[in-house]
Amino acid sequence: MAHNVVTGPESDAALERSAERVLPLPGRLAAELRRVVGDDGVITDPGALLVYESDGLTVYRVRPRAVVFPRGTEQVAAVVRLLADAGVPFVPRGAGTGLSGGALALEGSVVLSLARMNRILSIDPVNRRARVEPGVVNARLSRAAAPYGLHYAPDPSSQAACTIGGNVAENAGGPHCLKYGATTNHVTGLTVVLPDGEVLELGGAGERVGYDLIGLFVGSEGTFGVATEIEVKLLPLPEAVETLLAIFDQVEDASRAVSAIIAEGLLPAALEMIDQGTIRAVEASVYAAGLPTDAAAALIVEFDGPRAGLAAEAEQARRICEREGAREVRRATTAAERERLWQGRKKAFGAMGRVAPDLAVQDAVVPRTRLPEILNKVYEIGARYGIRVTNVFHAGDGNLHPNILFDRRDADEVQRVKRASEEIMRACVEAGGSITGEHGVGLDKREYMGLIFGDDELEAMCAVRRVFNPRGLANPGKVLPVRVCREWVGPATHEASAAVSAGAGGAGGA
Amino acid sequence: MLDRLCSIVGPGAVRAGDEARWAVHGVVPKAVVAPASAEEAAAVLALASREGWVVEPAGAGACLDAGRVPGRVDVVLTTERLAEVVEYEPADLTASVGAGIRMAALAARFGAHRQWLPLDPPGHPAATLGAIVSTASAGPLRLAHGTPRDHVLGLQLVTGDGRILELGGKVVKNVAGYDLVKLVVGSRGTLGVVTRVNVRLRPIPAADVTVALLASGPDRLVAAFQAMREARIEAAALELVSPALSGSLLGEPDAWALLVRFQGNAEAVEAARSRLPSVAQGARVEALSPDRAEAVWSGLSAQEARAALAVRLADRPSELAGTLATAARFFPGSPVAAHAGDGIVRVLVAAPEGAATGSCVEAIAGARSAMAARGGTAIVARGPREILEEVDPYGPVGPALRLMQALKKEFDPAGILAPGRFVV
Repeated sequence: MAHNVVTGPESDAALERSAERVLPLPGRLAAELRRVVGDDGVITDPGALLVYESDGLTVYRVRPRAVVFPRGTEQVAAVVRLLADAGVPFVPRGAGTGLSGGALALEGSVVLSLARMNRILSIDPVNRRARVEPGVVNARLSRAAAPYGLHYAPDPSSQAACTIGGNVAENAGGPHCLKYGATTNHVTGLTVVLPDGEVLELGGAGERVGYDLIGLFVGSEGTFGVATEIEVKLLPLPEAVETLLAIFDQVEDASRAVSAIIAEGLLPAALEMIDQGTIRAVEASVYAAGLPTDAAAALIVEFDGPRAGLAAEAEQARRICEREGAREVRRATTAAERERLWQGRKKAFGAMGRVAPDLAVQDAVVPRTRLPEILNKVYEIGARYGIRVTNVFHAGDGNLHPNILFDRRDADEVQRVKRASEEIMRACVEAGGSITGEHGVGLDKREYMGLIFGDDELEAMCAVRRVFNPRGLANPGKVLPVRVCREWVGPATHEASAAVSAGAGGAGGA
Repeated sequence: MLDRLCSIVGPGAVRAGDEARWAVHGVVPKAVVAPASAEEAAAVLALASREGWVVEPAGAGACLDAGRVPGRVDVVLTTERLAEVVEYEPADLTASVGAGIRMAALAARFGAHRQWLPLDPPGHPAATLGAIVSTASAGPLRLAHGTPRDHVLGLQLVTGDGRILELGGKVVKNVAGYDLVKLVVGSRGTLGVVTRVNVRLRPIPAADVTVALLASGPDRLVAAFQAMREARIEAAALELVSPALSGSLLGEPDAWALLVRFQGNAEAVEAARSRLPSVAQGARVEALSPDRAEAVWSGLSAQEARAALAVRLADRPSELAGTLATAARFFPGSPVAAHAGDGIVRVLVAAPEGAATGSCVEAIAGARSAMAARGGTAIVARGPREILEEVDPYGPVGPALRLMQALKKEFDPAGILAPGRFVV
């Protein structure tokens, strides 16, 4: 029964697709699920399940036992209750664009797809709130709010595909969270289905009474239950936007400019850096943005807000960049020019696809003042392991995204990628940073949690998870290291237990 | 008890003879202890857990008249000796500070670098950061800057059973693990004692201007507030105050006032200010000098902190007129101040005594059911014992209470931390 094999840098096994066989759902569960969500709402065909075997971090592949597509809170609750009765775990999934393996169906999980729950339930322009289902695509909400002069501020780079539900699970960020904050700063209400099927309303009008369970739920990566309705803040569209693109011959100069802009009291809406490797990949691709390929780094500095005074802020940032050694500073004043300046940043990941078959988009944070030394360290680590690392990142937040280029068919290279990633994480933590700024822990980083938290903290997190998810049925195997939560009950059925052990054996012996 | 506490923190840190000052709703503790480190606090709490001593966490002691009336208090644990700035890197706009530091001290320290922590809850200069974080208190600036949950990057928590947990981090962006920081912010000492707080700072805005709109009644000002929002004139604070406050703060005892605070670069602030008359709905527009503006905002904060009974009525901002009407109906004649942009009305009652106590109890219950009927809330932020013995300051929590109780048990298994004071 060699299914459910976790393949990826995590295991020592070669990177191969999960085995052909998929553990069937126990007893009449499939039929009962179909009674709730309709015949077209359950996928069990092994071929069709292939689509769901990974998320945006494609080195990990695990085929789920089934995918269920509920519509509405009641169906989610009914599905979750059926799964709980059968002891089958589940993993909620939005668009599957996550970059930490968080949507992988471990331990015999069923995928609970929120794709069909994609309604914008209400937009309240007076109170600047929207209520949405979790499957609403991030960018669609801002488009829907635009006629009211409003927008939804968190803007992950995948916003054209990623969903608000996934954003809530991961506490997603994006370039503009420098000024506006991450998802957690924008969620004001949640309808939640707990792993036993109980429906809970959190937040809404009036003041919250008791603990901030909304704040606790956001970023819990699907391990506390499923958000089935989400109320968020909408912000006024800025009256004006000023965008600068500064080109540097030295990465250190660009990093210093970032620190100087922050230290001088400017508050850009976004402050992004792309390095030479990224510039060259972009310029060699169909997304070419007219950036000089001999430049060491480019900074995008964007200001938004009232028109009055905005140009002066941009001018101040331009002077800082020039003082720190920028060879050229371009300025966009129209939307079309702005799009062009952002092109190199936004299409970086796509452009990288030409360079190598696989791309690991890493995610770590350091204090902003430590950026220059950490960037040098990242390049040095890459060189030492003989792998190519480029950087595209949210410099203003100190949120690095080292992009590691590799070929997953090359087992030795995959091992080097794994070791280099871990060294990068260690370097960021030693600089006083974090192992993830916006992608989440998921499966990929759960073993790094011990780098920033001690056993007491990890056990406290485990205890909190147990309160929401006592049987371990919601997204098992994520966020916390395996060694923590020893008392973890885990999936209860005989089939699921067999699946886990078979999976472990398969991974070790493949 | 005193001897055993002395053996942990030293005799100087057990405040013998000072117990009455730290009484919680009149319940005088047997001991007041001021640990000098998280380790000492952990030892005190571990001992209290073993002995079953009831502990009330405190900062400067300004929040002890909030919350339900305790049945018993054995030990008040104050963080006032944990008042150092542990780390402050101005270029990163982050700092790590002891929970017992007062906001005035922080403002001076950060202000030297033209930075600030934009939190202005009632009584804030004298309040400790730990108390503000533990109670999730915010003031008028919440409109632009949010509440403590938006500013705290990480914190050190000593749990009821004496574990020292380092939660969150020090960087401005961090999603590693569960956000236990959010759980602790606003948990009112029921999960642990916050001993250190890591905060994100903001640059002090280049321009900061306050304008008062004055009118004989609130309706015109509510309309002005709504017109401002529609016109996208975005303020950092929007406070609507009744004539009693308008009189003491502005010398306008016959007028309601909408205090509009603009922050940003000088050009943007001037542009916003110049547009105000166009949305004022006929209200008188009066710009305040910087000194006067400062006095108005600190005066409002101080008056709110002084009120013996403070009731918060909250609903959506669009319902502000209805919320104000509810306040007027149940608390006729009492001063009110409203965070207009957040829909939160505070009723400030001076000193209810005797028969007035009973009518306050009825008023709170009445306002609560009136607010609940529209989906809003009524919370007693602070009040005298006689009233809080008769009416729950928080009101119903709903089914989520079960989760909250289970969470408390994980952090305070012996149930010694402020039991019965909050909703759990």
